Amino acid sequence: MNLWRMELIHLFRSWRGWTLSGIYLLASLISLFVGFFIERANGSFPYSQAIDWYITFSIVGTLVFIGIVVSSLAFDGNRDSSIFLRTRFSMKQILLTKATVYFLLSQILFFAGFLIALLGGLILFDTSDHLNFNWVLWGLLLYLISDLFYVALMLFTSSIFRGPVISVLFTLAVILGFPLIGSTLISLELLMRGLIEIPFADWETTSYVAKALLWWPTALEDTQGFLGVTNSEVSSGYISFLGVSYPLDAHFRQDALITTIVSTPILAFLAWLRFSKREI
Amino acid sequence: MPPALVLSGVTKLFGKIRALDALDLTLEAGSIHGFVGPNGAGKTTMLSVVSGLKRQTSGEIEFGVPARQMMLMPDTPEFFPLLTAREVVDLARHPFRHEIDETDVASIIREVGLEEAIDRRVGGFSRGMKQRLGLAAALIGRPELVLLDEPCSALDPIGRREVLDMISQLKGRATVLFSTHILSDVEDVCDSVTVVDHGRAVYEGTVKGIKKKRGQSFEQAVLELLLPERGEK
Repeated sequence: MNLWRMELIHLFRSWRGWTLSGIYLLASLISLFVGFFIERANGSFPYSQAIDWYITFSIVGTLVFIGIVVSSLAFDGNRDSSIFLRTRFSMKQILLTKATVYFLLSQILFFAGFLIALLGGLILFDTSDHLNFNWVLWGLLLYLISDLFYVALMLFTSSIFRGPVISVLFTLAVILGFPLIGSTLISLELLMRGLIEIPFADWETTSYVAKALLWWPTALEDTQGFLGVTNSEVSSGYISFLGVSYPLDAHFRQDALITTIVSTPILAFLAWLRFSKREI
Repeated sequence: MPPALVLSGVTKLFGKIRALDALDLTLEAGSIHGFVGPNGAGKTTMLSVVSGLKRQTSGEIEFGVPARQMMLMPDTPEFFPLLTAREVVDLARHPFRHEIDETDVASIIREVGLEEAIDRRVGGFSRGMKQRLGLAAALIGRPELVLLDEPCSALDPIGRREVLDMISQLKGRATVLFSTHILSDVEDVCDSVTVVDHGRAVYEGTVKGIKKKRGQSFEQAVLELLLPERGEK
């Protein structure tokens, strides 16, 4: 018995792991169902769009995942079980095990769902326009980097409060709050400047608030669109993701990539420091 | 033999509250030392400070044993409810896995009287069962310094006797610091005792010494030490 096994038991002897697996499976199946009905209505549905739908539906899995990870990281919420861990394992061991298990789990579940959507799409839908392997690989790498940031962020937010509920709420507020507040501020700014009529895709090049928010690490999530780039999109130089058209550029969201790479180790270190200094 | 633990002038403040007030304590290696006092006297705080879960505001703590050879059992041990008793003790064995064999897990669970519940999830355990399991988890690594916070508080008389016997058997093999407010337990198993109130030691010495000094039963003597502290007759 070790900490790794304990985390897996915590996940798979309870609803946590199974619910999360179910959500990602459901996201992939729903993306195929949606594709099936769109194909019946339109006569054609490219399989790459099943990937786009899957990425959209898997957001629910991400939210549930955040709740599960943060409540697991709030182990100090129960003083006596925290004593059991803290008197036997170093804080480095505890945090590293939790971070690694949850990071790997999130990758395995996301990509298992991705594969189901991809294989199902290849069997069921139009395969005349294939995915571009190089762009998908680039998207995969950026997805891994983005997820590492999320794990580090959850470590940090969990180190601020002890209770699981407040930790989950705070983490969700940080992750969802920034984009929500940002969108409101962008709209206000564009309204004040009389530019609200410009196309949505141009907001980030026009609004000062939007330009600043492109440095916020979660903006890197937009690169998930690379997971569904097709050869025709490479030829056109544009991709369409979640209803928005972006220029196909390898440096897309590079500001967010820089802040993600810089802030991930800093957040993890601060989290370790706070957990280590916390009195029980 | 050098002492297993020496506390010199250890003070712990929580804001303006003085939980430990210049506490001195010396634990002879291999002895069983009782730490006695009313609720809120600072017993749990002292054990938390010694085990590193809390930091002292001032004062010195010297250990005569390696840090990993010290184990704390909290007064209400809690475990991850989805694990079985065997898995909990095996997890507690993990830091000592190179020295302690896996077969010792079942034998220590048997010793604390949980043999029948060994493969049951601990989420359904009573408080008494959790205390027994806590003791098994604390002792599996054969620690040289054992800190027990009210280890018998939730046990029935038979369970209490069994646990006290287990603690007695540790004499000579390990140093035990044993906090309680059940005075008869201290008299039963301890060699020495510290009586503490409001974070200050009002007596430190042998269990027999406290009797001789007052010519009374241990319980009466301890109560007499504590009552003037509280301004009572």
